[in-house]
Amino acid sequence: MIGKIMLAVAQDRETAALMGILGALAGGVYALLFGFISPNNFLFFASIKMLLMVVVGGLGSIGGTFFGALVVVGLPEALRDFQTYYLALFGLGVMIILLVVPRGLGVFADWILAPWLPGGMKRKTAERDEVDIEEKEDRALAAAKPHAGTARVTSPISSAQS
Amino acid sequence: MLGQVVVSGLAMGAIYAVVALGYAFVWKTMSLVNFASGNFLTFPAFVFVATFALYLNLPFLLAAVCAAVVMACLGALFSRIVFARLQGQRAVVAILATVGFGLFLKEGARILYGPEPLLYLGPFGFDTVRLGTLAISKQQILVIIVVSVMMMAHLFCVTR
Repeated sequence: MIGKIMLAVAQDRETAALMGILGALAGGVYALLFGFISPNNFLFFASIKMLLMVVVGGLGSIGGTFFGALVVVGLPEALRDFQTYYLALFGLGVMIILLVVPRGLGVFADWILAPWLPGGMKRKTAERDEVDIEEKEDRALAAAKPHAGTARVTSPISSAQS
Repeated sequence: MLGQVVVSGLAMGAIYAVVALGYAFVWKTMSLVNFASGNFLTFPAFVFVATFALYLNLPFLLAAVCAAVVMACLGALFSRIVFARLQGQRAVVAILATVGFGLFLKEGARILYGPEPLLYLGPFGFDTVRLGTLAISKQQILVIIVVSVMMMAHLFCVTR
């Protein structure tokens, strides 16, 4: 799985370059904002937290990432009253969120933002189609049968699926 | 001197090998990487030392068996509740969920047993066995033997 991701990055130079550009931009803006940098600015836990924002929000969902950041930054603050228990509760909370909504909170965010996102509504319908894609396939097959046998039924559907 | 270092290193390495064995076992059986492995080492150590050995004052062997049984039950519960659900998910989700649980375990150990390091001398104390110029502590020999047996059992379990 991870190997596949790495392979995808290796094959997609633009994405890899974009990641570098975004990281450099963030670093530059950070330096401008604080006027102070050190190699210890971003510890391992900080990267975990940022990854957490994206994953809790749902990969590939912009609105979800907003929710994710809200959870990752807000949850410890909300749990601050529990004093010594708050980090433990934070860890547990993150795990529970990931177990209950593994696709991320972006499911809600995308639903709210759908009218304003480019192709948002369309993406919703595409997702709905995914559910009864098999049924559709059957129908398409049935519809294609009376026509010429050369019609390739599977290719348009599989492309629509992806 | 070099031999002494090698023996100490072997004992320490054997302990790390058990952690690695934990990774390997979870990977082999569930295709997951358990990023809470380090905390899975720490928490049972606290359960063993603080609860069974120091608080309940059990003899070493009984305390070890009790800790193993308790942690096996908790581990089984965890694998049913969490790992089984993470199996179908993306790798990132599984990684972060285990990291979150590791944080929970670490903080849980601190909350339950306090932040002070605990002292436990084990069954042999500082007893050593002299082997020529080498002084090997009995504790190290025990560690190496136990780990070797565990490796054999693991090999038998996984490749059977």
